[in-house]
Amino acid sequence: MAGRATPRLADLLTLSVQTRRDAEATRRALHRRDRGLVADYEDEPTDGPTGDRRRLLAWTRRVQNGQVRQRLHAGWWTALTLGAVAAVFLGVGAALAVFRYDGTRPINVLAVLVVFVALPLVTAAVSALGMLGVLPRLWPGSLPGLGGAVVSAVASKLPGAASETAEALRGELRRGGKVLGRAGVWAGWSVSQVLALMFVGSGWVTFMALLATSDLAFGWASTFEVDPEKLRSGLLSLLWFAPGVVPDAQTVELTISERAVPFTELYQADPDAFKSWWRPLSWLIVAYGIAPRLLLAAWSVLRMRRAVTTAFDRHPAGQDVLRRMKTPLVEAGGPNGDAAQTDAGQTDKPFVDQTDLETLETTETKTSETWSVIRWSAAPTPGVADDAEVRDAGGGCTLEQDQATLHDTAAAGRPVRVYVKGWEPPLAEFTDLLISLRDQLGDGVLTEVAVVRRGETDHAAASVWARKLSAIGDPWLRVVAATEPNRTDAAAEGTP
Amino acid sequence: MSAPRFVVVGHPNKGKSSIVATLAQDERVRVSPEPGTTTAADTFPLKLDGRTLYTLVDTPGFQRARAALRWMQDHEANADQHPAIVRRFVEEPQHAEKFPDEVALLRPLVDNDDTGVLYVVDGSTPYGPEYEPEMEILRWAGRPRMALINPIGPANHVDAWRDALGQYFGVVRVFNAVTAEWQKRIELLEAFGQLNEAWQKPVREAIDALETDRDDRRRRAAQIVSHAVVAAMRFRVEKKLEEYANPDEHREALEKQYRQGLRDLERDAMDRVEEVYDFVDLRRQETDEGSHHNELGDALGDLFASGTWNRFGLTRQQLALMGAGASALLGAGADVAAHGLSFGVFTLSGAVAGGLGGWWGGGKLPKAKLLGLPMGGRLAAVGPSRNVNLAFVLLGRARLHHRVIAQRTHARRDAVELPASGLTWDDALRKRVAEALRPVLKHPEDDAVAADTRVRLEPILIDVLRSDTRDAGS
Ligand SMILES: Nc1nc2c(ncn2[C@@H]2O[C@H](COP(=O)(O)OP(=O)(O)O)[C@@H](O)[C@H]2O)c(=O)[nH]1
Ligand SMILES: [Mg+2]
Repeated sequence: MAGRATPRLADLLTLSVQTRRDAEATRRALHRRDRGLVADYEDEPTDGPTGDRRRLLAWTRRVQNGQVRQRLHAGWWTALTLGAVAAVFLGVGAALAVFRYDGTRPINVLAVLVVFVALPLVTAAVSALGMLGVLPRLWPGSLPGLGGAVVSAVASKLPGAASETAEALRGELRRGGKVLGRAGVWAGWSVSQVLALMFVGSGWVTFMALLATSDLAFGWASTFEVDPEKLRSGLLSLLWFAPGVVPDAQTVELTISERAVPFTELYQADPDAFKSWWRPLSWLIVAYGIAPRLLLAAWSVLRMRRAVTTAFDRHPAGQDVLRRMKTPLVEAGGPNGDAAQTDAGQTDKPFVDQTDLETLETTETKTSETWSVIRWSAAPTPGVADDAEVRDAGGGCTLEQDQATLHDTAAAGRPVRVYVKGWEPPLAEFTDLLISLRDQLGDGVLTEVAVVRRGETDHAAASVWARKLSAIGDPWLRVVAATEPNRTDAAAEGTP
Repeated sequence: MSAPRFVVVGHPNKGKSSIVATLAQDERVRVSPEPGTTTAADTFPLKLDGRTLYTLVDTPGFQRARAALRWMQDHEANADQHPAIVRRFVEEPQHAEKFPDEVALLRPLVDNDDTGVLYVVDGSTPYGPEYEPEMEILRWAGRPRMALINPIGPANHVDAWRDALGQYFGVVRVFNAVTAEWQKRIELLEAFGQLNEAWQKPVREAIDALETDRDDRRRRAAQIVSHAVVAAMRFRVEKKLEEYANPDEHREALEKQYRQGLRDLERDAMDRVEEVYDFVDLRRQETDEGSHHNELGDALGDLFASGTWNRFGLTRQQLALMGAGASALLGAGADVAAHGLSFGVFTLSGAVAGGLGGWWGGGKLPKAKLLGLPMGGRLAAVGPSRNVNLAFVLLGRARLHHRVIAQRTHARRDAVELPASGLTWDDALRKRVAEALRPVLKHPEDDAVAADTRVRLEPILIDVLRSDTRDAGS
């Protein structure tokens, strides 16, 4: 399992669920945990996106002994199985209803066609349109909400693990489904296609079973005036690949049910004519009820896999996990390990606000090779390499300079770090720029706002930034804290 | 000429609302560490007999000053038209959506000719170029203006701010929005008046009215305190016992009830003093037996903690100094005063009907009879205290509390914290108070005496509370 490099939905959800649970833990504890997880994984490729993906996959399967993923995985399959059982139940039930035959009246061919051919065909066509992206355009933006509503309606009725999975899904959908991206949509399509397939498939199997165990007679009655000749030619064109199974004109004519002569007499005269309908029906169900659905199911599952991989690769929490896995853990060990840990935990949280910010290591430098750096309103830029290109915006810049910075940064397409002064509040002119930057960069490109603090008093202000920016609700937007070097004592220092 | 309006503007989170809350003595002004809490201009008029003398206007902070200034520059004609362009900016229909904050904060500037601008900055954060567009816009608005440096944090950037602000504002002052004492607030108001010759008269009038009002509040506070102290000196709890019941079994419960009753009296009085100063939502955790670790308790101590009595009560010498009459009265009370806890006088009357004192029982015994209770039961009672030290302890605490409340600004959002000590009685004052209290100590049961005591105590307390807050003018 460790070697497989294809993330599953459970891996994706594990990233989401685990990082939400991690919100309570100190960064040091998380670093210790994740750094430890990777220890026996060193021989795997270490560079490039595939290496990162493998590393992250290993993480989802090992964190908390893999229990989170296991439960999510089991939950997903439990839910699917339950759904499948329900679909089979429905399919068998529908088949028993339309193929009911007690010798007094023939099975209505048209009813069979409606339930097991026309209905599946129409829903398959709607699904296909949806998968092609036509339907979401009809209801733009409503899909995550709709999905969330469906999931939450189902969630409470599911057993343990499955309801956890549903909760995780719903959580993501509630947050706008951005992290799941298309994976959520395709998961929805896959499930619906597989369940629909189960319905028609079990209907067809029931039909076969009834045929094998009892005599069935078919007739066709319609409240509409259907011309027997037209019906036959219609069937012929539908079954163009097997014209031989279509009953001949006489049989079609003969098996019209509403006649002066009672059905039992007609049946006695020529039972084979009434029985011969099973062939075209069976073919129609297979060709138009089952086959398209099979294709759609296969297609949507494939697309789901791909979407899951994409979402997994750019999951906003993934970057944090990878950083923790890759960065060596430095601990100043005291004689008593536990005591040292609690101390470290406390110094990790310098202020009481719950929006604790990750503090950047000032030794960690960003170069313009990998990151774009924006300096808002002449904020200090700790942690930026001397030769790195830094773009300015805000403060003394003109609006045109802002636009140029925005344009250049978006064009570079690299992750962005924006430095801001922690002692000033976030203004609308900043969030305006940030939001358009995020729009232009698109989902999946990390954007860090580094709030530079000078003294203890700026800590509260920094958490104001964190709250304000988290209200934007963009999963790839992160707020981190940075400390201005050589300026830790705010009270003692003069003016720039 | 209409009354001047002083519009408080600036960057978000620099204490604009705090300044308005402090000057308007109104704790309902929304002050918050969250920027963008004030979303529309709020007016706080100062009225004298229904006549507005001046109006303070709290506004949201600048959010898109650069873009706003750019719009104005793009529409610039001549410098003498700058105010007109600011007006156009405000009236431009699209700007309500594009610049909601700027429109809300500039509208009061263009609406009314008698408008002064107060620009607020935080003197504990460094000056930066992001402030220039704001100040430039204010210059364009063309109103008399003043800059206020509000030192929010410990760092000191005041000098740099003075330099920068000096280029845009004729007057630059430092004013701490949250801790400013009364005199500082009055001086600031005077400075507002000086922004425009014509404003001096209404502002002067307003200041006089505020001073009068402040003295009136002290008077009302003194009234509340003297009421409470007299009530405390008359306070008593009692319980009717079966004839053969063991009174010691009830003693502890009764004493506890007595102490709690006194605490309630004190707490109630403090609440009402706060109300007099327009503090309604003040956080002041209640002091209950056993819960000494709260804001009030930490500083003042529980009313019955022995430390409290040592701090606020009088020493034996002081008690003796007050004269033979008083000390005779106090009797053994002086000894128990030191630990304070058992000063309540536990008495046990022989038979209810025969009764001791009778003035408390007076109202009750007939009732008891009516209810058909058996005769011959006994009445256990705690109080009233004959210990003058109880009055001094209550008064000492009330003085501290009053001083803190009277000086507190309405911008503060923290809980009330009282210093552990700091106010003293001089001998003459102590004597006057003891004299005033003597009648009620002698005849706690007599309503007329109690009323008389209140009348005698009140003017003394007015003087005391005035001198306790003397730095605040008058
Ligand atoms: N310690 C202290 N805090 C202040 C002072 N002035 C404002 N604050 C705090 O700064 C924050 C913003 O104040 P507020 O008056 O709402 O600012 P506004 O946005 O300009 O109206 C609040 O949390 C205030 O309590 C001050 O002089 N001293
Ligand atoms: Mg405000």
